[in-house]
Amino acid sequence: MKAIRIIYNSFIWSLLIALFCFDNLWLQMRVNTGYIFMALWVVLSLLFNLIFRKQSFGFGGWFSLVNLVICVIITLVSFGWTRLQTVPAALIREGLHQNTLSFTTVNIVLLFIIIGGLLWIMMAHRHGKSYKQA
Amino acid sequence: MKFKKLGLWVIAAATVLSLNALGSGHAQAATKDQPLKISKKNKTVTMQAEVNGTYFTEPTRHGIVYQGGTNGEKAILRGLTSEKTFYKALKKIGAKAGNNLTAKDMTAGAKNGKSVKGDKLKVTIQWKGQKAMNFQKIIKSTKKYKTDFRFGGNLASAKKNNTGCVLCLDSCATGIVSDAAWPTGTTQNKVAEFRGNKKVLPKDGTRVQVTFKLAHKD
Repeated sequence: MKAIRIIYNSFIWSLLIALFCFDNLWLQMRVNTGYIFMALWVVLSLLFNLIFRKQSFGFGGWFSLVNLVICVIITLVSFGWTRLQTVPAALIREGLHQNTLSFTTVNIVLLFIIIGGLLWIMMAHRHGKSYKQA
Repeated sequence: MKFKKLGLWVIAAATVLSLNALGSGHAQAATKDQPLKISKKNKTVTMQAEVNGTYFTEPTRHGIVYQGGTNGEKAILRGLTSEKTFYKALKKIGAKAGNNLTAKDMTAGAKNGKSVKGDKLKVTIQWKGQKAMNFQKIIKSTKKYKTDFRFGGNLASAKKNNTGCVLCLDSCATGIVSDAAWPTGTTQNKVAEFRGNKKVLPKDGTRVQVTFKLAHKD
């Protein structure tokens, strides 16, 4: 479960960093920011897995929830609702070289990963607590 | 435990691959290049392109970029013909290239940029249910201006860099066609910003036809 929490939080941070890279016109006009997102996701996941390898801690359920809320607030303040409906989907479809995917399709998959992942982590967190109490 | 971890990595990889698979069916058709329509009599070249909705909200300096180029996803319109083929087509209708800009010119400041030279081109765009209109109408700029598209040429730079640039919104040393109304350095110094006009353009992914007509041969 620790690995899932690490992969999930790395996903959120990678997406946030890639969004800011996309926001930089110089970088956006020269680099495939989708690659930045994917590379960061892999690197951060491996890095945190290595750091927390011998510890039971590794981003808890509440940590993941607060992290998501903070990251959503940062992106909403920085990009606004209209741009947020396009930019994450645009950078992901560019990274995957799937330019015919609609923004709606990519956004649905993103929401599924973000909300579904958090629900999974929170449920596992509760399950783990009740298991310990029993 | 190791198997469990391996399983989690497989889930992550599967997510990426499933997104890839979702688009692959359409991608086959989209990546297929489309032939240019050349009329030596009317001095026109017509290119197929697709609307990229990313640039309804984001700024860009690219009007049309060939989808196979390194900048294929950086333009308001995704060109469906190689910029090199497009260059040859403009030559076939008798257009003369300016070839006056170098890579060094692209590092210009806000006030010392150079404008592209070459034959003047009238650029229009149309799509299903929409009559041909001036290309300028699909561009939303932070400053008012009148487009002055020129056949910059730049084939050597296009071959070297493989960016796929067909039409740039300010003067460019790589784009086959670019706008002399804005000198080099316009976008990187934020003199003006350009976006796709959402109020005019059809939705993301719509096929459009862009026609380049040699202006002085009228």
